[in-house]
Amino acid sequence: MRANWALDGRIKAQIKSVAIGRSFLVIEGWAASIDGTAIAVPLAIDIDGARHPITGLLSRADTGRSGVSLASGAFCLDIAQATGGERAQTLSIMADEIVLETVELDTLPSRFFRPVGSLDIIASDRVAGWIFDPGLWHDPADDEGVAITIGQYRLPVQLTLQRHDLPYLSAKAGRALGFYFNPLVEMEAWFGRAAIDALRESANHRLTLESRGHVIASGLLSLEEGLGQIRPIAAPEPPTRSIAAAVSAHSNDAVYLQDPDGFIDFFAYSASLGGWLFAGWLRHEALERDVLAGTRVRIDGQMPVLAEFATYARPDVESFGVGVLGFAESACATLEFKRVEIESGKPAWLQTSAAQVEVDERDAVEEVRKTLLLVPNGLSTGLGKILTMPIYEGVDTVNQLSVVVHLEIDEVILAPAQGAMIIGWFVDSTSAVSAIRLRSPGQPAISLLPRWIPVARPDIREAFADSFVLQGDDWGFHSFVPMASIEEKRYYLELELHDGTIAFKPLPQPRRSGRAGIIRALTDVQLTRENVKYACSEILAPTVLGISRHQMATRQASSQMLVGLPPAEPRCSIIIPFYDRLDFLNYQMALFSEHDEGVDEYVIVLDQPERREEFLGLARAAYRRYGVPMRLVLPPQNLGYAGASNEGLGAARGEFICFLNSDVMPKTAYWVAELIAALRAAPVTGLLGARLLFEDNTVQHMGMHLEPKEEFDDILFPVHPNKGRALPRGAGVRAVPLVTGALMMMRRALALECGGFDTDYVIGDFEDADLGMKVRAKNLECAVHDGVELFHLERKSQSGPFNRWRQNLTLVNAWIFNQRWEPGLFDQADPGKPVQIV
Amino acid sequence: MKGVASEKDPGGCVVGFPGQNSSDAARPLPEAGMAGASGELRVLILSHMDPRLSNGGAELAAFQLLEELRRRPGVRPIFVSCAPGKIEPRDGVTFAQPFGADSFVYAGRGFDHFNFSNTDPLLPEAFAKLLGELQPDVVHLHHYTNFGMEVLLTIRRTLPNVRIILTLHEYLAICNHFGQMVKRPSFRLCEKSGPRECNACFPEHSPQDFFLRELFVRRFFRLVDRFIAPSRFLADRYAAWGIDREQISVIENGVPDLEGRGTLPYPALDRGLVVGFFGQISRLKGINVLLDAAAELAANGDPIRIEVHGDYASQPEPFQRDFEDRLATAPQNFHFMGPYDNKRVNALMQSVHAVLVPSIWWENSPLVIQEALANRRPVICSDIGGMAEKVRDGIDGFQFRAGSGWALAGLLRRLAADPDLLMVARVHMASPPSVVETANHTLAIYLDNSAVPAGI
Repeated sequence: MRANWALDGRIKAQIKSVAIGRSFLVIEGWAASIDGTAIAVPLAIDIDGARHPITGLLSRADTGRSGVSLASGAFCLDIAQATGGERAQTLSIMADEIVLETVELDTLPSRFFRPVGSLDIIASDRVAGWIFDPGLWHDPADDEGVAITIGQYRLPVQLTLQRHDLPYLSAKAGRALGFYFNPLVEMEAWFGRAAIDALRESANHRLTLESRGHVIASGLLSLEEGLGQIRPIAAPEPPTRSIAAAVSAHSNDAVYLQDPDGFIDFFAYSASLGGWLFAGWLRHEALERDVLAGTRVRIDGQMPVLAEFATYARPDVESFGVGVLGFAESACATLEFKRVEIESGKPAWLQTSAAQVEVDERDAVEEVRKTLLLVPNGLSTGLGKILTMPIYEGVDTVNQLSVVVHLEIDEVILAPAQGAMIIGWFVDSTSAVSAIRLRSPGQPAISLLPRWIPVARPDIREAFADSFVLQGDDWGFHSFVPMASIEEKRYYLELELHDGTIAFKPLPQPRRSGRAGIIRALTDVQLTRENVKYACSEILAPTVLGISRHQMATRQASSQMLVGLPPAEPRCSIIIPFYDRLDFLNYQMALFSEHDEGVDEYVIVLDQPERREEFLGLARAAYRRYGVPMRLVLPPQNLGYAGASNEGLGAARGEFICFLNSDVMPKTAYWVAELIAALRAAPVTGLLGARLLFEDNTVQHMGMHLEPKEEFDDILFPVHPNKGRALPRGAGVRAVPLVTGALMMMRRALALECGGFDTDYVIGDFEDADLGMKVRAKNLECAVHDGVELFHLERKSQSGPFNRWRQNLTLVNAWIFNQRWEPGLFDQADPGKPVQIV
Repeated sequence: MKGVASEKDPGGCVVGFPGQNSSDAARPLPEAGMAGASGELRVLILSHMDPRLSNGGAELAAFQLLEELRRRPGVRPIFVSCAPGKIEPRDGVTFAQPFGADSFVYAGRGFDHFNFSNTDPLLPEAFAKLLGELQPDVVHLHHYTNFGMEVLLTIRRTLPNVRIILTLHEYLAICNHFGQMVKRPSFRLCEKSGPRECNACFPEHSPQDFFLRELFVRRFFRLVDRFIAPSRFLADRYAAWGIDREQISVIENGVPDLEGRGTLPYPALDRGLVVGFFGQISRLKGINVLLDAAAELAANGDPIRIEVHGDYASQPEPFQRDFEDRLATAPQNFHFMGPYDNKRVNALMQSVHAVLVPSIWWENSPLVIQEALANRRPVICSDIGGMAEKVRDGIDGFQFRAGSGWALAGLLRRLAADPDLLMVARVHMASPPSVVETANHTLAIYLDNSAVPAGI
């Protein structure tokens, strides 16, 4: 074929082939300006004198490479032809009024048109693909249309999806060539439940794609995992603009303007392989340019990463390209995966087809592996080697290793948005293991070993006593894996030996959450001076904070209930959370009733929602007997002391509030009035406490200060000076560094300004010291009224193995407090002096 | 009627009251401002049980007082009792009247025997209503169990000026061991309670629980205008626990039908000494002390016979078995006589030479001592608590070291050898106060309106 040069010689063009349909022609060719610039004049095809505009050009690398043009120039145009009329004889490519080339149809390698298309995705929840068959719109009388047969059922298919990635001008002009639907929903809609039931009878079904009677493609629908629930899926959004439109708008976005060198049909992040797998097709021109020699790719404009490719013959694209398989090593598991740029000498990029979404990791690996098997030496390519690494199939393979390694997981506790705690035991007596990693779909693998505390498991040593001698008892572990989101249905552990061998360990489903999760996470851990900071910062605090923040974030609103009628504008709201010992309400109300002035409100928060009815009974009975009204606040979940007190603060209406423990009982008369008078008298006092006594009248609290605990690596703890001492009652108000949360009187406005207690301190520890620090940061003082005495029954000490979790929680809270408020905040010479907090 | 305590023994069992003539038995009411608008003195007597449905000492004392006050002109006593499990409660009825006018029965529910709190949601309102209707001038509680401590607040809130009197029976507010102040499980005598000490007896309750119990009881005791204790010993124990001693009056429980008692001749001593035990047979009542003494005496062949009259059917199963075992091997001089009807107590007591009260707990003012005194039979008792107070050694009877069968055997041997000691005691022993006297003292307390109402 000889190119006809326009008279001015600036544009050249060629018709490569013409395919003949019943009522249309499909014409493929190209046009280019010799200086490589975009063709500014309108192009058209003239058939026996009738003009058909060429509405856009596709990129065509071969013209660029041969020096003809760098701009897009290819076209594949379908043109209607009257049926029964004269067969067309002469075709011309026109640039404006200039004839670039004219061909006689007889001289071309013309052939009858066969529709082309592809089934890109076949899965139980979606089937997607495309068809190029101009007969669908040029032969409107032909009502056979597009269909997919599944077994005995013939399912009509609507082409609803624009596929501007396809190299047809009709596609660029906006004609829908793609389809995308949920096969089961469609089957049910067309043929009823019987069709679904029929599908359930066998695991595999052949799907055949047809257009107007022509079989185009077929594939296997595998239902090996059974039919799940049928749910409709939303069709993808149509593209906001076509590439052709972008070209005509002369946008500056060079990469985007350029047509892609290929398209990606599916992609998946493989946690087990540690990267992205993708498959699609690449234009012949790009392949000829050798773009796949590049070893690095950028996905969605991210940092370049190493990549491996393989190509294979793909019948559905053979006229314009080859199939391509790729793997990009990446730890970034959450990408849109819109575009893959190959870093080679010449820029090349693959675009993800509009209809594509991420597919399941295992499906993708399986599909790519299957395809590679059909390629000569496919498995010995770089990609093949990657893919032949073992893949987790839900089976424990640790016991199949040639070395003796014992890894058992007792429990996984999810710490939402933070990660997961993994609890188990591990014996590797030959030190064969180099890594244990958590893998979860869409997330990079994270090693367990950097955040790992050994836990005593003497039972393990005893169990192995017959086989070998284990030194010590530390065979258990609590490990924390930071991971933004975890899919617990599909997570597992990957164990790697020093020789590179990989084995897998299924993980149990998380059983405990909330408070139960926190208790489990902290129960068996022994914290010491050596490990406390490491364990808190790396393992325990992230777990506890993840759980508790999730609880706070997902908490339901509290309801309120009045028992009796509290004063309309209370002087003080006394906020008392109740947990466990609900009977303290009877004692407190009996005792408060003796000196209640009728001007304060009691805001009673039940922090144990499961005991609501019992508590309401207690509250009503107390009101009937003692006549003190109560405002009950009923959160539908347990919140801990800080959270429950905050709920009470939200409901409080007094000018002052008093955070109070349920085991504090009055001793001196009119204690509320006394404390308020003292607060009013000294505006510099932000937070006022009282003298609290044990039941034997010795001091429980008269202010707190901070002291490092040597046994816990000098973490600062609040201590109560003079605790246990028998001292005569004092008089007046005295500034102190901090005040216990068992009784804290302050203005409500200040409490709200401070945001109440910080709920990061779970269950109740350190939130009082924290609030004290916040008050001091506002240049206000903490103080204690030595003339106001109440009893504080302070729960029994948290010693003993059964309370280890509680003790550990205190340490976690201590660590959080120390992190927040740097040590050295207090003037050691004058501990009562407010400090400047930077 | 002779005034007993104040004349015979000013330091004895009954404390006299300033300006009061205790011999003035059926004296008309003084012109005190206490009487209500009706011109009569309305007294509400609260009893934790009803003597028509059970027969404990406290409810008997309350009922005897009621019946005596009914005979007094210008006094209208009204009885309110509890009867948990004894009467069928009716829906919506808190106070029933199965015994006619001026007598109410509360079926009782929701009472907590640890802290004496009653969570019955219906009681406060129903009781306030009843108080409002009856408008008593005095509310006299014999005990607070079954009602719950909180009724004191209901009374004070409903009737701010009413006079609240509380009679203390045994040591219940002080001791969780049925108010008996003996250690658990050893039954050693307890001198002083406290959160730590009580927790040692009841590890299931923390010291803090005991502290709360005490705070709770005290909060309501502060509403009481005056306490009555049937013995000085009990008054002192409560004073040591924290009630102002000045606020406690000691009034001995009176004995009814005093005139009809002690009329039978003293039994002959020629066939040896016969001593009798009367009452509930239990460990705390000292039954084992008797068995030990019997064994000691039998070994020596002393002609002394110990008779035990009483019942043990309501005792715990292990005690019953233990008692039956010991009974089977008991020596010849130990005679278990079986249960008796209280109507026969005078005759039975007068058939013995002396009455045994060997309790190993403090006791308060045991009825059996008053009955023995009324029947003119010397009392042989443990040398502790209410017993030692009521029975002066060598005058009203004889004391031995509490809990010691050996000491008791020695004492009995001494009395058998020298029966004149018993004769002397019969001459000098005190007469117990009558119900009439007790009512006089009690009325005087009702009318002592010098004090401002207590508590809020």
